Amino acid sequence: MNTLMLARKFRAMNKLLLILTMALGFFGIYAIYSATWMRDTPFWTSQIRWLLICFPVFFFISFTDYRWVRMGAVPIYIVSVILLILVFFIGVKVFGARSWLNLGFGNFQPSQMAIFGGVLIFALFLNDSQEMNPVFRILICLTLTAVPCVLILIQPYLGGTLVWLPVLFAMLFVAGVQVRYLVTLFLLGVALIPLVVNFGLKPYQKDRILIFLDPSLDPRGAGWTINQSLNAIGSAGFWGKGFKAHNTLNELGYLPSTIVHTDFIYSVFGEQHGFIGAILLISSFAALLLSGLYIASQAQDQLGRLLAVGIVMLLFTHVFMNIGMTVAVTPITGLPLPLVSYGGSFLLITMACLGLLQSIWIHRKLVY
Amino acid sequence: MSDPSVAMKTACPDKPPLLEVRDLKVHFPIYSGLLRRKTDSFKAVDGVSFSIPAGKTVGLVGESGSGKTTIGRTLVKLISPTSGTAFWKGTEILSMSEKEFRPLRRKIQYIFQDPFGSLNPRMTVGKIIGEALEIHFANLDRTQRADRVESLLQRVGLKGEMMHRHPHEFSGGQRQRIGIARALAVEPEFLICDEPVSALDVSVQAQIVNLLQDLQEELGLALLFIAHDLAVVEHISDFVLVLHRGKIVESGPARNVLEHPIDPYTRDLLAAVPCLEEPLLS
Repeated sequence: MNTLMLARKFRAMNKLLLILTMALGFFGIYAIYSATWMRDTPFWTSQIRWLLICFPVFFFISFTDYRWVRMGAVPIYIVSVILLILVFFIGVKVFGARSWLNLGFGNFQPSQMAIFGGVLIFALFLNDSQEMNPVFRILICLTLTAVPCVLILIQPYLGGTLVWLPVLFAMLFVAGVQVRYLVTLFLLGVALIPLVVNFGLKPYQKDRILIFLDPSLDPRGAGWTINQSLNAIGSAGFWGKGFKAHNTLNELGYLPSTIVHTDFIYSVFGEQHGFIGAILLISSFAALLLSGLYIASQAQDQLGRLLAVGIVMLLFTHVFMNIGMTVAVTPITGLPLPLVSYGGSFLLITMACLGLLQSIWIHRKLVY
Repeated sequence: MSDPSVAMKTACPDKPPLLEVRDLKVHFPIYSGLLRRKTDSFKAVDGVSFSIPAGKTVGLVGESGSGKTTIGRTLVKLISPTSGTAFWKGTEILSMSEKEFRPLRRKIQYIFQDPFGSLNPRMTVGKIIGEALEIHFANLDRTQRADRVESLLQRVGLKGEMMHRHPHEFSGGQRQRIGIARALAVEPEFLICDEPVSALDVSVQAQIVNLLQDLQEELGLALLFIAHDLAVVEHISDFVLVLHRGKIVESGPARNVLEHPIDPYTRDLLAAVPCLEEPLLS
């Protein structure tokens, strides 16, 4: 790829998506700093290092024609499943879940790679199986989902499993599977909920669901985090308490220091910047997701459209579940906020996804 | 045992009763079986009578589950009584509708046991105290309300500028002071203090008890002081009621009851108070 072509591709990038990607990436460093400035570990510098690794990956994927997915989807999916199996043998246990692999310079979460691989393989399969009986299409997709999901569930990382379902549904819908099949699949899933809750969940996961239904059940125990999160956001008012404000629930340690820069970063941001800051952040994510949907609508082929929808749904689920759990709209699942939460592997996967979106946009018409 | 109302009137002949409770019963139904039928009832309060003169403190003691808090909550109509009457300056209050009782809510205020759970964590202290003023003194404008909040905070030993802080920025003792300031905001005549110091450190307990005594002296408040700590009750109360399984088993002037107990339960209660051995004290 020569310089001229690179320049043409750079000019052809979706500018809104590019600006939002950059802005949210840098905002993530600010948010992590503002959540942890009072602590000894400089998480924000580590996030800068990850961002410096991720930007080249983002641009590389953006400028590469997304049709590499035809060749790459299956290997990525298989490698991610192998890594998920490896986690059981050489994985690192963090907060009770064996979900990480130590790469020497940092920990890597294979479940993040697996969902990325899932989006790719769904897109490839659904694109190539348009003539197949919808029931078989659904069954094959469910099988492709089940293998990594079971491995992730055993870790245990419930949030990492839940994220597959909306992605699969959205992609099946866009792939042309009739709504009646999807409704049936949905109802079957709903019917399985009592079985899953009673026999499939660990006690702490059941507690999370009970606390979600009534946060006042155990405010000093299992409901501590969600209640403190609600207090942090609820006490901020319209303008918030301000950047590096003193005596915040975060600074005083009411919000657990182990998760304020990861899963509960929105609570810290909400406490510091209030309603106006929260609206701005949510609007930014809305603009990013809508850009993604626009890219899907403009995609040159069904493969691009499926990839774009899968990526948008993946990001939307993370944003919705993450912000939702901090304001008690969804149960606590431990899903990070894309581009904002601390964490290298998820940042890398998010950047790869956004790069793929850019690639679908750049390569929609022009022949390079 | 003598009727505590009569005993109280005899002990304080010059003070007419501000509140007089007669034969108060609060029974909670027990449901069991597949159809959740009422099979029995738990007698939390069972025929309690006492009176509280203006400007005096009545201590209500008893072990956990004896019915102390239930009496307090019934008097402010947070719990409905099964039977019995309570007269506020001669007017029966338990049968009043919520609308009729609302003006009296200003006169009868409640200080809760848990200083962590009784303040809205999402409001500033100024708003928490100001809310009571907004309801009961609707004619005050914002500046007047803020001035009033500031002076209330100073009265309970806090700084005026603390009104802009949230409850989590205060210690337990400071939060209880805020609870007291909130109760005082509406200029009450009678405070029900439901174990206000039991969640606090001993040194802080003394500060809060002394604050309540100072305020009582200054404002002429009557207090119903609910507690299970007999030392605190002896320190603050003029008159003591000992509650056991929903019944008053002994009553009288604080010093008499706690130094010369007659009822075996009161003796057991006193015997259960831990004390340091002399060598340790020396």
